[in-house]
Amino acid sequence: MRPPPRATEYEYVDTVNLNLLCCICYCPFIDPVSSPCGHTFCRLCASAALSSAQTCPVDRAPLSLAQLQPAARVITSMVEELQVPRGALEVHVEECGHGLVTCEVCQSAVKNKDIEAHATECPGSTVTCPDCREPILRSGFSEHASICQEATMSCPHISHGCPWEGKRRLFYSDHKSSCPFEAIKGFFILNDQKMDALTRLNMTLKSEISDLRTEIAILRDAPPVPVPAAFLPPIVEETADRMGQLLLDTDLLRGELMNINAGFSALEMRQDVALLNETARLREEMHSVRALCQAVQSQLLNFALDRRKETSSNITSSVLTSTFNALAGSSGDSGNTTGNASPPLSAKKGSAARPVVPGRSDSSTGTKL
Amino acid sequence: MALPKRIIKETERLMAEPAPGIQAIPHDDNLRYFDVIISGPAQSPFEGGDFKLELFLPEEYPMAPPKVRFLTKIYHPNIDKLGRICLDILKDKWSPALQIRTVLLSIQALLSAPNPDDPLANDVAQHWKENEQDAIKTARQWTAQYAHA
Repeated sequence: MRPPPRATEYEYVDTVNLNLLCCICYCPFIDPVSSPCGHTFCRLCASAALSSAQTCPVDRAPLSLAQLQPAARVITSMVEELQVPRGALEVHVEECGHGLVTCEVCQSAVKNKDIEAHATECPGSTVTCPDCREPILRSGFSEHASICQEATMSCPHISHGCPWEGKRRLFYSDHKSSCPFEAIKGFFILNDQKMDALTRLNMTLKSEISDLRTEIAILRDAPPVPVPAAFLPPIVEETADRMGQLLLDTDLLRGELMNINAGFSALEMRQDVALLNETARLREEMHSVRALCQAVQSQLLNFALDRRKETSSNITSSVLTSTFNALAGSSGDSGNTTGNASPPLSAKKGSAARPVVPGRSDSSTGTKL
Repeated sequence: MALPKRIIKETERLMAEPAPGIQAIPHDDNLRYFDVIISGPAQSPFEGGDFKLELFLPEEYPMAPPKVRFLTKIYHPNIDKLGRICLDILKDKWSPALQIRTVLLSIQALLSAPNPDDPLANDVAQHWKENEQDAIKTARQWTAQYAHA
């Protein structure tokens, strides 16, 4: 256990408020800390006290260093405001580490505490070149190091494989003229330039590849996004245009097809009607032929009857009758078995539709009459 | 080793505003060494006596307790015949917030309230427990015999 070390035990101008005194050192707080139980001490006093007993020096409550908090700002401020006598201040100013002093060599202002360190880096001081033993200003030393004739240097072509190393003056007087690498310096320069260009190109390409890779990865991962028409590339737009055109064409073709269909069905109907008419005409013609046939039959009958009358009156009457009957049966689809010479009803109709037929029937009737 | 400011301040205050019944004077050649006189408290067997003590502040003070010893013979269960005092604040209960004044006041209080259950002088403590009146009487005799200037 040692008494708390104190940087300086200051004298104070006025009597210090007793509340600002540390109960351990009896001096105004220096870097005050407070315990959870509300007591304040100098940091150094508190840590010294706690090193012997882990209790608060005032009330013996358990206390550890970690529990100490910086004291309330008001305490710190009041301690800071305490005045020390002028004499002490003057002494302090002279030895204060933060006071500025002027470096005698470089005339720059340096903090008191840094003056020793400054001596080793003051740009105005001289240093001895380790190679040529000449005193050199520190500020110009790095420049000197690059031109000092006694300094050891490597051949500038070391990167191309020249192993030469020696004093700078020997390089210029001796090695430079004999260095095989120096002789093909031009080639090296060109080669280096090419290499540089290629390296740069390679770098750019590499970065491009990596960019593209990331882009691909992104596209692969991302769900397909519907692209607004405005951002579609021209080819897509063209395709869309063509599609529209095709749709329009299809519509037109469909309309045409419907027209054709309609035309076709109209034609069909016309054909039907024509066929029907033709059929009706043929049927009428058939009727007229049939009527003609009947007329011929009846004429034939009349002939037969006349012959009988002329030759033998009653021998062939039965034969004639049977012949007449047979003819009547084969001619009849209508009830014209009566042997009536008038034309059938359908023939009359047909004569209304077709002017040709009545002409014929007229002729037939004419023939019959 | 320069004297810590704390000791100087304590000394100044002890001299300027002495506690009642307590006198502490530092030696001229060693400011860490004090001659102390404590008056026996009223209504105690030590009333009327002036007891001399020596007090020494060790190098570690105030991190270590002062060393205090009775020089005057005293018949007390917590003080042995060599004058050593059984008082917790002088041992493990020391705190750097305590000071010479508080130590001496504690000793004065100990004279008022002997504690035979925590004895240092076993025979005196035994006597005190077995026959307090007789022990007190002895204490008064000792006070009259040794503590009167």
